[in-house]
Amino acid sequence: MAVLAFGAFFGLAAVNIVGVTAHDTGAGKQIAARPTATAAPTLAPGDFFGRPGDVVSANAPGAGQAGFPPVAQPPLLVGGGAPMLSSSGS
Amino acid sequence: MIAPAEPGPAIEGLVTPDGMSRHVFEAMGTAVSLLLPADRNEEAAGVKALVGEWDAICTRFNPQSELSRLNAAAGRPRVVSAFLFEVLWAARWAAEATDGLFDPTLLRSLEAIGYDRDFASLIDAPPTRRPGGAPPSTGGWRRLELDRGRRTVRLPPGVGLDLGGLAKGMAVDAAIAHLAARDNGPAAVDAGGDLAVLGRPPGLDAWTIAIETPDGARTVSLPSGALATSSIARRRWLQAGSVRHHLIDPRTGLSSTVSLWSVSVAAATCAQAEVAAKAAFLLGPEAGSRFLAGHGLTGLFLLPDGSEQRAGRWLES
Repeated sequence: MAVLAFGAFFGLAAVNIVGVTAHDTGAGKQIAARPTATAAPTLAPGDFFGRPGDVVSANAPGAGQAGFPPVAQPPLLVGGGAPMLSSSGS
Repeated sequence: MIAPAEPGPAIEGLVTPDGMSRHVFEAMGTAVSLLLPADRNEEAAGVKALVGEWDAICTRFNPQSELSRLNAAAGRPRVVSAFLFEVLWAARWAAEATDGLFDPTLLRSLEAIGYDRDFASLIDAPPTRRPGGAPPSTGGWRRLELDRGRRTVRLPPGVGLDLGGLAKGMAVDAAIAHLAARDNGPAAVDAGGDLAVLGRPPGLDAWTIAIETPDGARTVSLPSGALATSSIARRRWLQAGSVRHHLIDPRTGLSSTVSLWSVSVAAATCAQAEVAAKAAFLLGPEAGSRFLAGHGLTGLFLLPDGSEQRAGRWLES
């Protein structure tokens, strides 16, 4: 059974959100991965919204660090046809 | 009068992109919808387990969850898992970035307006008592003590954590990261409106998303990243005959009275989008637009009369 660490983007580049345990079928093929809570999310340097030095407090991860480019935040497109997903408010 | 409304997708007729399949399951108090390449259906189980694990740790509705045990220990330092510690660190970070408009310590305020049980129970058996006296104090995050070296957390006495939307957004981000690490191909994860995408749907430039309006739905498209919506359209209930909703304004400790139907925000991550949408909603259209612009974020404000106001970078599809 292999333990796979994986990363996620959170701000600039959060990594290691949770550990994932991949199960082997016995035929050597990896199938669905089962996450474990043994590993934790690690937050990236910079502002929570990806802009270092913007609203970072002294205690925030990355406070005082420089040289990180701003995160490219996505635009939205007007319209687009039949919806695939819905966002009705959480 | 606005009727009570449960969380989850209210929009019918969603289409599944060609070459993809849809998987739906319940977790984190809502319906989670997952779009995967049709030949990667086996990945759904891993995502379901992952989101379920976030739910198990971060829910406030299970007294045995790690979060609930921490809430019960308010006033005393408590060692927590590395997992929960980092989620709490993110929560405080988000509170700082929004000057407390996002406040993870509003549990007592939510309980005071009746949201002291899971939402299905709230709809089935609405609370019959009104709270007496002043609303619970807010801003407890400023006195939240996180000791990274000892991995301890101390909640101020009387303060409780509700990680609701942030935990859901982080779980969606984790699910996308999980799929990316497994070279899954295009995918989308939608947890009751907090959604993130990976790649693009086959043959298309963006993912089309329906956003509920007061009289139906309108569509936007997201080429990458994530989108979250804060809205009074969902999670409304009655308390002693009065309508309440879950968007607490930390400046008052009560349900926000801003004249907005919803705010949807696109961001690089679902956690960012979730926090920004909540802050922008509480600020209202004008100040909220300035807030989004200050962070390079794009958003859509829907007003109760059905009109809309856009903020940030909008492109023609």
